[in-house]
Amino acid sequence: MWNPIESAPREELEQLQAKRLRDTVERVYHLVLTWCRFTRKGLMSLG
Amino acid sequence: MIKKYGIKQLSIFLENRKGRLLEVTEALRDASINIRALALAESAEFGILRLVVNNPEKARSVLSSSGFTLKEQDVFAVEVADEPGGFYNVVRILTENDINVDYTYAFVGDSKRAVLIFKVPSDMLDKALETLVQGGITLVEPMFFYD
Amino acid sequence: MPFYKKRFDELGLKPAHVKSVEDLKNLPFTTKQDLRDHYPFGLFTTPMDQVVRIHSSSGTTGKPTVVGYTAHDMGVWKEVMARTMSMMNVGPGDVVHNAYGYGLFTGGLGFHYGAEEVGAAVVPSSGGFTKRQLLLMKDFGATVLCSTPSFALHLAEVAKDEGYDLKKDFKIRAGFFGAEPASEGLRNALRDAWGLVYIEAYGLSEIIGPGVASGCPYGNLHVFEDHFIPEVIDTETGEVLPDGQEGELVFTTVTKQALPIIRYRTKDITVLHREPCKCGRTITIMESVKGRADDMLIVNGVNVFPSQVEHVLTKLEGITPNYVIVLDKKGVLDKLEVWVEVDDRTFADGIGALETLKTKLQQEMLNELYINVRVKLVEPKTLERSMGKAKRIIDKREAEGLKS
Repeated sequence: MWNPIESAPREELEQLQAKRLRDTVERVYHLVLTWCRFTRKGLMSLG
Repeated sequence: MIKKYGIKQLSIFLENRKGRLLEVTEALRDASINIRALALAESAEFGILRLVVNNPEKARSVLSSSGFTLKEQDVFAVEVADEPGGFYNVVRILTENDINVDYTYAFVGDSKRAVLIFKVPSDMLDKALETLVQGGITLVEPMFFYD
Repeated sequence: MPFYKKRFDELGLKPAHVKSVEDLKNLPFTTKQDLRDHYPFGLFTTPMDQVVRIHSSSGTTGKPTVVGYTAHDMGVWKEVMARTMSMMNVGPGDVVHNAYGYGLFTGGLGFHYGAEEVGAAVVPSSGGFTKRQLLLMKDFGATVLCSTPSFALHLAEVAKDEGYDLKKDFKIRAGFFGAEPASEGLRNALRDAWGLVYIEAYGLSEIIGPGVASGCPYGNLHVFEDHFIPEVIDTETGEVLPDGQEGELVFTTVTKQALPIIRYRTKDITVLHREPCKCGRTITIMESVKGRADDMLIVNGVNVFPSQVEHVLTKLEGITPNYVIVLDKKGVLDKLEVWVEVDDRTFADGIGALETLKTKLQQEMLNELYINVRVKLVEPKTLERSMGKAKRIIDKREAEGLKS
């Protein structure tokens, strides 16, 4: 098995999933600042 | 000129499918329409049947209601002597006047005269008719084909 | 305002409301239409200078679906593809013949990176050129074949015609097959012809590409759910269904950076199981996809939406002729034909004009659908005549598949 997580107890897997899910939600929700920066930069570079 | 010499031709789109030609001719026969001249152009998958009939109005409505895709256009017919050079004279005049021939086909005439049908781009039709008359070619009036 | 913040705010949701995987069911869905509405990069959550790869696949009309990867995302992709390869202990010494299409599709490069990651030698042959592929497979001593199942069968049939002895001349021990559904008959035909272990590969570019789930040697398709959390929902109500019940598969990516996606509706119909597998894996098992919740067609592994065909036809001089999509088999491979009715509006009196129309339509279809489409010009009502009723899509492949 390439990664032991594939056969880990489900509780362990679900804990990992929960943590990663929280991070992802934070990422997609809170990227306001990065977004604005990106958008401005994007608009400028696109002319 | 177009009014005087323009002949209504029907073009019918046909799939290359068994019996399809039969269905067209059957529909025309049932409506007592006589085919005066015809030509069939074909590719690997489909064909175009071009007809000059004795009653274009009626043929159009009969074929249309039978579900055929068709187009009505003006063509013209010329009468030439049935001897070497007859066709050449017509083509020469058209070529000298930069008139492109889309296609042409022959109508079975008697042993001395041949009747040829020409299709040229519609915006050149008038010019074609005028130059041919000036060149001494005999144009055939529609009444020759119609009832 | 970012897309997800807006969606969350509409539902009165805050990130703090998400504590466990259980809370996933309260989050809004994301659809292919959302990706289209934010074409091309509107749903990316990293600056473009962090994006190292962009792929694209078919959209429903006009615009393709675009996905992006950061270096970290490429790492995730390599990891899940390496896990796929590890299902058959593919590694140093193996020669992986990769006949998935390279290019904008994720198939070719996904398998390529996976095979490299485990240390195998990759032959990036891509699609087409069947006879040359067979020659290379034999001479290079390929041990692993990656392709669509129908192409693998096509290879086998051409090999027989060319006089090869499949089991003597080739050393293929494992095949990683995906991108299109395969009947049990087809799977067995491949096992028998090549003497290989059949590993099913599942993925979609919106989530990462191939590597979302992989079959194990026991034939169960395992979802790599530490990266992509699966749910099955009722297509109508959106309600989460318990394990064992058939519904639409939904994925949430939890490790991707450039294009994380929350509750993406795949439109694939399947069933999830969470019992441990004989292979030792505890991660969720999904059954092979049973069908689609939309009208998407899969043609030689390429996704095609009927709306794309209509889009091409409408673009042409602003008229929408009547049309029918006909799917059939040419040998074992799919062929797609679009029968376009020539009516009084489209009928130009000239074989050349009609041939030009046909060629133009075929070129536009290739541009829009990324596959070769044969356009056939037909008389109105041809299909009603030959098939008995008005239908937009005729799939003659289904009946064929059942026979095998």
